[in-house]
Amino acid sequence: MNIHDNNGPDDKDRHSLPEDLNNDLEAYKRSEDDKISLTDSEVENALGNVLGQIEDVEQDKAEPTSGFSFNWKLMAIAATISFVGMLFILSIPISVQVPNGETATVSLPDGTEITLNSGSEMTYSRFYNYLGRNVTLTGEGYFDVYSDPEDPFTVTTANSVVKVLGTEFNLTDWGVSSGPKAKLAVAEGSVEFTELKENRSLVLNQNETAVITESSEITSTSAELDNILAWLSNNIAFQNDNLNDAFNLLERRFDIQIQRDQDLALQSENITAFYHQPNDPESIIQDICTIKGLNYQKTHKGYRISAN
Amino acid sequence: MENITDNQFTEWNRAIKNGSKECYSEFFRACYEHYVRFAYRYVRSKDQACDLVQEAFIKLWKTRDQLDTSKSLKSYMFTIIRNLCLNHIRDHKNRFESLEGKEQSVHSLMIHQEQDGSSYMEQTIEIIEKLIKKLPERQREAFELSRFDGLLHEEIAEVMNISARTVNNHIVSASNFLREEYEVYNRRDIDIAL
Repeated sequence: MNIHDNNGPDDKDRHSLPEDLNNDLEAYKRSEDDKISLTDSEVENALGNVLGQIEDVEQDKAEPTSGFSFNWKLMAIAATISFVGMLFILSIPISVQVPNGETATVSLPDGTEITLNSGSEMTYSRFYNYLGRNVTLTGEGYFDVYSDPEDPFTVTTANSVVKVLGTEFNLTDWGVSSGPKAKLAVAEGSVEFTELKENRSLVLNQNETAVITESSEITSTSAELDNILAWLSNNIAFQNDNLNDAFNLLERRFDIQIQRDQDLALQSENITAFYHQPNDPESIIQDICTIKGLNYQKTHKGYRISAN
Repeated sequence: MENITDNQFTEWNRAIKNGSKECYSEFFRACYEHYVRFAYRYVRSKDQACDLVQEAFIKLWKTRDQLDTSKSLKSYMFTIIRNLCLNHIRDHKNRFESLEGKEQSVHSLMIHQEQDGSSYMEQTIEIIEKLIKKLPERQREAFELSRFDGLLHEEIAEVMNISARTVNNHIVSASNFLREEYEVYNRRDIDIAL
């Protein structure tokens, strides 16, 4: 079995690499293949083994079941229990959790599409379409909501509720205790952004952005929409973000741990920077440390940041 | 496995669903080795890889009536095997090996190679192996499934249970990383020659 062949679309990956690297990758693949080179008799033995086990299973199945008689009372109890159990299971919402280092796209029954950023979680009812279009979010997501003026779509986070009829927007709320509580950017249409604690609301239109501040106020910001949506194309954009948030973002994005020494005042230092599809967190951490006069060391699971 | 057509897989899929042991055996003979190589990439033990792939084939037969004929049998098997491998690794926690590989830098590795007398080809293969091991795990999986197993992005998305866009991102990132690191290595090679 060779690796070069006629699998159309994937050829483009192969061609995007220099030829000598391609050749070396093939050499590597051949050497890996050579480690597992099975003789015909090895394959036949394995097949024999598998067929043998399959037959054992089938004989067990074929044995007649005896000593079972219908007991209607028991059946009724069993049916009731399973019915209640089913209702219980149906009442548990569906939850989508995205591991660090990945993003995920969720399609809801009405055609609404949500892209979730690394480390985020979203839940929605199993009866999503029938009991109203409601979801909850912890983290960051880009929502492309199917338009239905009769049935508003709402997203609830720890600190906010966003209510829309049919638009596209980006919402962030990690449910953390310090810093801005939630951020919203509207790419299309208009939405109603409500803060949960003081119940304040603001209507946002296309290309507008807003945050809920630590003191629970909703304020419009001048943040660039393009930068907020950078993560959708695998880019990283820091826009006057404090260093703590920046490191949190890197942790989720690259699935690493960044330890921070306690005496650092990361909350009060801000950074603005843009990285095009980075695949190495170290160069970014290095940049931040150089600019802010910090030190970093590589650790087993990531990095450790300390004062200079 | 590359020279087996999608039609052949579709045919096997239907026949196995209908309980044909002949077709099941045919599929086994044609693909067993490739799947063992795939499993070996995770568990790094030939015996273990063979066991897990056999277990996957048994599972395929037991659940054959749930087979979805609209889906690819090829990637379905990859999915089962991958899950068994990941469970096996989780239960046996022998991952430290691959972590050690990650910590080592390419530079220290190249110096190490100048000293021993291994051939140029062996050195090249070792370099590629280390570069691939340095990739984040998910990126590596997607890259290897694309390049070494010849799967399409949609098929990889199914196997890894992620979106096709993420697959593409993983593969692009992995390719960029390999290209950059490979250049570092080649530049050094030229330096030595000069």
